[in-house]
Amino acid sequence: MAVDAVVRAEAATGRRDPGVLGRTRRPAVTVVMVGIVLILWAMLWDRTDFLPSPATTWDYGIGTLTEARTYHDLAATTRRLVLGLGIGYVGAVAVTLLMRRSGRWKLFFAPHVFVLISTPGLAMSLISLMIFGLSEIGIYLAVAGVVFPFVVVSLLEGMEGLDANLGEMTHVYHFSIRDRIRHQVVPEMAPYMFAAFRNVHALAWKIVVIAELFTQDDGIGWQYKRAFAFFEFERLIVWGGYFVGLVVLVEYGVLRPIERLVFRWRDNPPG
Amino acid sequence: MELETSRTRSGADPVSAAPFVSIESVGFTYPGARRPALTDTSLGIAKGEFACILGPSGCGKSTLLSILSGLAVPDTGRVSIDGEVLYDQGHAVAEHPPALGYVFQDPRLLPWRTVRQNLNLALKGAQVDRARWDELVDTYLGMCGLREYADVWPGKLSGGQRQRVAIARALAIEPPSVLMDEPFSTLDEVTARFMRQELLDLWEPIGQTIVFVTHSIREAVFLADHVFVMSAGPGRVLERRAIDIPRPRAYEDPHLAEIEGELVAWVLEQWGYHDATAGPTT
Repeated sequence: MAVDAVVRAEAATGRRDPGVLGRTRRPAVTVVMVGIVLILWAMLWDRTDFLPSPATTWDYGIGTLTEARTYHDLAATTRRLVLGLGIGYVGAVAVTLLMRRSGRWKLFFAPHVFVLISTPGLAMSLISLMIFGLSEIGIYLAVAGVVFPFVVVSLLEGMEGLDANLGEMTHVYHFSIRDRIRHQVVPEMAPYMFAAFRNVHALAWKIVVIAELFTQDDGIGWQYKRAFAFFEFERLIVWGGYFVGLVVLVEYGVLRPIERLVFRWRDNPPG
Repeated sequence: MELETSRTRSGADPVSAAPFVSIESVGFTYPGARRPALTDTSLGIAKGEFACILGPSGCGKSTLLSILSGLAVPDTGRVSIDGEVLYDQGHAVAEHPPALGYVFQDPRLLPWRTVRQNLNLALKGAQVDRARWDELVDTYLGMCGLREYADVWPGKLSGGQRQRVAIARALAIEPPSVLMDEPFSTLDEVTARFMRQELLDLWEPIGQTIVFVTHSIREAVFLADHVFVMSAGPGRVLERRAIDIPRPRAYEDPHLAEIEGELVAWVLEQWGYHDATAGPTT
C-alpha cells in the first residue's frame, strides 16, 4: 500500500513533541549539573596549585566584557568558522547532488571522500596551514576539508531514502530541474542536512580554534595559546566559556529558529 | 487502427473517429523482468470519454498509465494523444509531450508546500500563464470543496481531502487528458463512494478525457463510458465494453448491478477463475 509522503516525511526525524515538562527537563538538568560543578570548584580550588578561585575567574571574565579586544577575537573566530563551514558544507551539498545524478561523478568523488574522511582532522588542518601559512585561507580550507566528507556521507545516506513516488510526480507534472531540486530534493533532504550540520558544527569550531592556535594572533585559539604560555587558568576557563557560549548561541539562536521555519509545515516542528 | 469491438446492450457500433488517446500494439518489459508487462496492447479512447481500464493485479494496467504519462517508454508500438505521436517503436518522438493530469493511488503532494503552492507548481510545469494561476487554483479547489484550505499544509488535511487536492491539481492544469491510477483504492469505502460521485460531478461539466485504472468492476461500471478489460499478465486488452447507462448514475442502480454481474462472470472466465456463481462485488 502506498504511504502518503506526508506521513513518511513526518516520520523522517522521529521527533515527538516532548511537552512542557520535557522541554524544561533538559535545561533544568543542565543547570543542576553546572551548579554541581561550580559548588565542587568553590570547595576544592584551594586544595590544588592550579585552579583559580571562582571569584577571581568571575572578575576576570567581567573584565573581558569591557575590552574591545574580546569582541575582536570572538568576531575573528566566528568569521573563520562561518566561512570555513560554509565552504565545506556548500561544497558537500553540490558534490552530493553530482554524485547522485551520475555514476561517473560518483566514481570520481568517492575515493576523494574516502581519503578525506580517513585523514585525521588535525593532520588535515596542519597540511592546510603549512600550505597557506599565516593566511586565513588556510583555516577556511582546514575546516572545509574536515567537514566536507562527513557532510557528503550523511547526505548520500539521506538521498538513498528519497521518495521515488514524489520523483514520479515531479516528472509527470514536468517540473524543471531547478524546481525539482528546490521544491522536492532539498526540502526532502532537509532533516538530513540539519543532522549533517549538527554532526560537523562542533567539530568545525574545534578545528578553527586549533588552527588559530598554530598560526593566528587573534581569535579564541590565540587566547588559549596565551593562557597556556602564561599559565593563566582564569583566561582558559573564561575563553572556554566563550567558546561553549558561541556553540550554544549558534544552536539555539540560529539553527533552531531556522529549523522551526523550515519544518513549520509539520504538526510537531522541532525545538 | 481498429478498436476492439464490444457487445453492448444497445448493439452500438464502436467509435469510428480517430481515437484521442491511441495505444497501438504496445509492448513493454521492465528492466530485469522475466516476462513482459504488456504484449501487443492496443486501445483507443475517444475525446471526452471516461474510460476505465480494468484488470487483475499485475496485468500491466498501471504500466499503461506510466507509458502515457512519460514515466516509461514502450519497447514496441505507437502511442499518441490528440494526434501527436509520443512514442514509436521504442523511441520518444514528441519534443514537448502534452501536460497531462495524473492522480496516483496516494496524493503525492509536497508536504512542505501549501495546497496552493502544490497546484502552482503543477501549473508552472504545464507552462500555464502565471496571471491565471490564482483564478485556476481558486476555481478547481472550489469545485473540490477545498477553497478554504488553499493556504493550508497538506499534513493538516485528511486522506480524502489530500486526494481531492490531487484531483484538483490534475484538473487545474486543464490538460487534454487526465490519468488516474486507482485513486480511491487507499480510501475507506464510504469516502471512496463519495469521491467517485465527486469525480463525476467534476468531470461532467468539463468533459476531459479520463483514463481511469481500477481493479474494481463495480467502480468501473459506475464511472465509465467504456471499460477496457485486460487479460492477466502479460497484459493485453481483451475487450472494450460500452456501459450504456445514462448519467447521472446511482451506485445502487440495479441495472448497474446487472451489468456488473455479467462482467464479473465473463472476466472470471477470462482471468482463469471458474466460480460461475460469484455475485456482484461491492
